[in-house]
Amino acid sequence: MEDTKPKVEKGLSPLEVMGLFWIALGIIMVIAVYAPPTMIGKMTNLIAGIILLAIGLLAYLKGRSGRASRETKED
Amino acid sequence: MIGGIDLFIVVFFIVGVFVVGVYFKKFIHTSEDFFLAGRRLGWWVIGMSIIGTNIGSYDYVGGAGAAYDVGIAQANYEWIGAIPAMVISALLFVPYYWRAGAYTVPEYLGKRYSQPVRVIEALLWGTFLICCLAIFFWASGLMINTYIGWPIWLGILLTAVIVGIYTVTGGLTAVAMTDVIQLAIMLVGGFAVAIIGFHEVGGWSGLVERITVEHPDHFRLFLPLSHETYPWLGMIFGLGLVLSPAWWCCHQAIIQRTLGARSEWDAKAGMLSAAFLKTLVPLLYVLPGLFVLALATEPLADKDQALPWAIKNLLPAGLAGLVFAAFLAAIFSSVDSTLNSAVTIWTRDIYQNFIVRKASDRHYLNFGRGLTLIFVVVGALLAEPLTTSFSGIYLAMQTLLTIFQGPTLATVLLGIMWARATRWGGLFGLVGGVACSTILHMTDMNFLYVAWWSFVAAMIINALVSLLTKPEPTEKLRGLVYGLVMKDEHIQNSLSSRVEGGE
Repeated sequence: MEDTKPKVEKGLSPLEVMGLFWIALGIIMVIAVYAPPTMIGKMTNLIAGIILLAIGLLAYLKGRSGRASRETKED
Repeated sequence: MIGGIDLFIVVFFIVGVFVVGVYFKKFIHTSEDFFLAGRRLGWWVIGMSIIGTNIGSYDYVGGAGAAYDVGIAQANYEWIGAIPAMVISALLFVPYYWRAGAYTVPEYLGKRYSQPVRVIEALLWGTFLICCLAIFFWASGLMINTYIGWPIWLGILLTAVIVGIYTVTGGLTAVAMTDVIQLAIMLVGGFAVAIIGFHEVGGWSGLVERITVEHPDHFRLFLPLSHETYPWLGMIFGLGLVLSPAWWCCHQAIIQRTLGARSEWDAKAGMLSAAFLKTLVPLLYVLPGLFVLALATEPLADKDQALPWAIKNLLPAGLAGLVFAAFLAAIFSSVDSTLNSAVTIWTRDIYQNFIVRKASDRHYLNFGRGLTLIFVVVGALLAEPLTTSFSGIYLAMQTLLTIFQGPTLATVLLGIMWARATRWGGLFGLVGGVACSTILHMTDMNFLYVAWWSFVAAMIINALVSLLTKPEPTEKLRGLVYGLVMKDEHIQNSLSSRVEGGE
């Protein structure tokens, strides 16, 4: 957990898990661009999807770098 | 009813939250991990979790309906009714709770006043939270019934199973982390609704023009004194000075996140960051309520239909699913937080305090998990009978809250700010305040005024009784009262060692 006291846990960190969830939801929203008939509807879905993807990627990358630096310290 | 891609998004959200919540089981080894996330939460998790917990289904449905009905005055519930109190909570209340090393607000009151005060507070909050749980379950069943068409009982069962399992396994860690996920979805959904809404009405000026012709008061933040529900005086005194501070400074589900902070700085910063996020919350439901008022050609028969109308007529496929997922997120985050807080109070303040005092840590962890399951079942079973005995979800919440919010705030406030307040003052003030609010309720007084007068009564009774009884020894008050922490280096050091020693 990058925002916690050092209590080492194996596997994905919370930020990585959250990031993956947001990325998956973002991809679904981007795919959902096909569904609405109007341009504004398509654009809104696209914007929502891109925001979720961006949040997810940031969270995942930050979580992964935090985990990597912790593992380096352990070694 | 939703279907196609929307239904797929909702199902993905439900399954995803469940999987993520259960994943956090691996962080739970002790009862402290379960109840306080091992005191490892960072400020941003605390801030987002507080707002996720605070936004409930009644905010979405009831809030959008109220905005449709009265306009932006409804946003005062988020601004005057939250932000100043959150800043006060962060700077004045949270440090004392955190430094006392308490798990619950009643536990702090027990240290500051006496065991009877702790028990009364624990019983009040413990009972209230279980009632809340039942109301949230009902709201969830109702929402799933309205939008997906499943029977209400199935919606309640689904919520109970999903939230129950990840709360049992992951404790506060799972609750806080899923709150973070859910809040992000709520904000993205709210932002997207704002984009499409403004596009439809022609921007902010278009919105104002369309509404003010027939509803000139809808863009006034304060409504006249004669207003039935939101008189400005009641908003300032009842909401701003009592209900809001009581909620943000004394509500166990809110405060528990700060008690799980890894440092005092994180606890305070978490509450302050939540105050910042709170400024965005009206985006989620006040704006949709106004969009509906501007766009609906016929007035709605029931104002609480404002949000369903927006989803049906305003939102495109895909976004409708995301917004519905945000509704579910609001409910799930309220249910899991309420559940975890209720279990913490009943375990720490009642079970561990009276029934089994010196058992192993594993025993309390298992008890907490078992009690979580029991409360899930009790909440689900009480959902229908409790909610239908009141005329609406929002009214049920307000009625229950108003009875003890004012007296609780008075007791905590005097406890922290006035060293002369005694155990007897605390006890009589709390009981007298609750009696006062109960009596005032019977007179059909507006709940905002009930909150104010019960707060005043509890303050006066506490002060008078305290002055008539023997002062508390200074040793007992160290670290718990303003002045005895802020100005004395010796006390600061003793507090630090106490917290580090796990007391």
